[in-house]
Amino acid sequence: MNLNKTGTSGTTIGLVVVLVMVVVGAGAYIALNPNSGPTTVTQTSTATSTIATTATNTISTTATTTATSSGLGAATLTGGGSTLVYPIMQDWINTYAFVQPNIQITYNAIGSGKGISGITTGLFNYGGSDAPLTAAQYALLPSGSNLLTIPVSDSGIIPAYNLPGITAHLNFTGNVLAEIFYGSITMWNDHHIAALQSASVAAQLPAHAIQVYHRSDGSGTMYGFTQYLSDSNSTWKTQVGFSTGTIAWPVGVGCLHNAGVAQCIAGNSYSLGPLEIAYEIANPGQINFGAVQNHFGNYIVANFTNISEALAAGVKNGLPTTYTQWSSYSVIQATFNDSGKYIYPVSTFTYALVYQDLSASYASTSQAQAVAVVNFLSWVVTSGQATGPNSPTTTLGYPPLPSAAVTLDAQLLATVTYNGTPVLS
Amino acid sequence: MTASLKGSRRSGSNGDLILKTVVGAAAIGIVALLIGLGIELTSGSWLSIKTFGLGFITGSTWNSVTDTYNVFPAVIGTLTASALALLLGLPIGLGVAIFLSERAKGMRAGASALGSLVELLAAVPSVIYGFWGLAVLAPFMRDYIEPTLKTYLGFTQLFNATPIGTDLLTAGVILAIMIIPTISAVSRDILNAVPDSQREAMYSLGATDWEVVRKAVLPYARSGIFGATILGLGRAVGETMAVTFVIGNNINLPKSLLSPGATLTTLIVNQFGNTFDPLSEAALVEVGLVLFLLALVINILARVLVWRMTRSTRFRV
Repeated sequence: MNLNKTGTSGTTIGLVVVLVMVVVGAGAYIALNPNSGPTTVTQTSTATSTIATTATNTISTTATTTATSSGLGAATLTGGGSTLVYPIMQDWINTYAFVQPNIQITYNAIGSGKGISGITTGLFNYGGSDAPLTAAQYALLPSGSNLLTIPVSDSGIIPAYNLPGITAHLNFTGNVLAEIFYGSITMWNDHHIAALQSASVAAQLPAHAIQVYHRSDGSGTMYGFTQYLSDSNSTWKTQVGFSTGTIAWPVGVGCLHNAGVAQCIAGNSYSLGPLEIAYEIANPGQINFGAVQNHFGNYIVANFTNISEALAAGVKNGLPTTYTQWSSYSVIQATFNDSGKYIYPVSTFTYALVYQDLSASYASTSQAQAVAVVNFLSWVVTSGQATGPNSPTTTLGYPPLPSAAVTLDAQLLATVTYNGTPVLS
Repeated sequence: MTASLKGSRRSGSNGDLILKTVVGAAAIGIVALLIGLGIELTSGSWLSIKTFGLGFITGSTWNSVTDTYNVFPAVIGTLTASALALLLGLPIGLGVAIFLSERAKGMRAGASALGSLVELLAAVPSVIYGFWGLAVLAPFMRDYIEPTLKTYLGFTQLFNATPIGTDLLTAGVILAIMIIPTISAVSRDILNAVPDSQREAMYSLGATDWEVVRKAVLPYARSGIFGATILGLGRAVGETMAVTFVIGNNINLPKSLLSPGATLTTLIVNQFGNTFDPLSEAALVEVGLVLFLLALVINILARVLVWRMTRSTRFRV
């Protein structure tokens, strides 16, 4: 081998590699973040953010203002789990860094299951999960521990589709959606679908097979959606069921993450798939989606207000108080049977998990960390829910918690202790 | 001068000792790592092994609702996608290598530019391939390639399905693109190492270019090319992100090449984050174990084949 030749070509290759890596990296960044420019951190002023969403959902931040007005001691927190909550969690963390400059928080978006295992093993100071723990998961918690399940954000799931020529919101019922995802209804112009539409829309339905898409990864979004299908249709309930893990989808193609499903639907005509509403709120008008019939009988086009209202109905009897109740609790089911006129029926919570006794050895939390985590979560469920043109709930597409849930959360967080003394005083 | 020479000789003997220790430790470390990995995967998946036994490999259900975890469809998916990748990638990769070593000899600058371009394909992160695959390749396959295949080859079960773009065939195509640089770069070096006397002997007998390549160059480089193929296959079997984007991620048994499928790696990447009960986690670790054993079997088979080939080649050439 000619040494000289190797030397020069090696340098050339090296240079080209570096160049291409830079170009590809920049290109990928732009391509993978179509809607976000450089991240800007907006400091929310806690003093002025009392925000009214609707008459029924007024979020008051007075409690937080007093709780966080005094500077907290330095602490570093680690949380992790749910990927659904990650975009807004990251925004909350960035904003909270202005509110409490001494507190540093890291959130690892590694999936709800890993959030639960992280809190079980004491790896995280708080976990994020899209579903309450199952009985089997509760059984793995350290003995004598009490884990609190705290709703921190809302999510709605919409039936998104790509039907050339149809821009109206198609009407769906849970039963028809279940039959489509089960593979019993295969055509867009099936009379079961047509019967739900106005005459003019029904006439437009194409004689084309429905291309079904869903998430390929286990997710809180699919957990909520499949639970809704289970509530709506007994065949789905007995033959498929619901889970945050793998669902044995009878038909359809799996796409990775919410953005993947959005892309699969946008890129394929005659497609239909369940999409987390965050995508539609953050990219309004980019994708068509249907209205879903609620228990009252109205067809509801999902939005901020009716998702919050649905969840307010879901917690009107309070949150579960025991592990047994939690493991069989589903806010979807609670809203499913509610006869509120304007609630959107496919709405669900995402939760933070935190131990009630943070001084216990299994919690692996120092006193400063305990103060920090409880204050942070209190801030999240109050100031973090603020709505408005530049608020993270609006720009990232997370409907705010209903005021009933905020009250319940505050009660739960008030029970957290360190060495027997309440952390929030 | 003499002193420095002596000095260097003395430190050279020290260096020998250090070298021996370092390389010995490295070699033992690798073996220990491999054994440790095997033990860890087995113990991590013990619950699943105990629960499902052989049914883990032969059964077709993966369902968290019923807590049943079997991987036959994923094994089929892995083998099919990798085989497709080799089928499409090997001729092209080898073609590039032959062009670079045999045809482009007179234009050294051009050959080296083309060579580095091909190698650059290997430097592109797989998630970029995946993104491109979903945005560009899958629609192209759905609109052009797959309808054609269905029209002309639909009578075989292999291509009898509605073209959707995200399926086993597209996964095979994207894997082929990803293994081409591996195969071509390694094969080119092997072909360059074929002594010119081999070629000259053939030319002197009046052979054409094609005959020289076929009868002198390729047989001489056979075992090396085979090794390059195995490297490519290894990449195809283990590739995760790009495949996840385009394979369709359906865990039912695929009915044709145009059906969405899953591979062992996509199963892990899709499900790991949201499992937290001991059985499903053990099942996912067992998927890793199956992948580990699959890679081991492929490597052993490759070794045996290379060994038999080099023996027979020695007699021929």
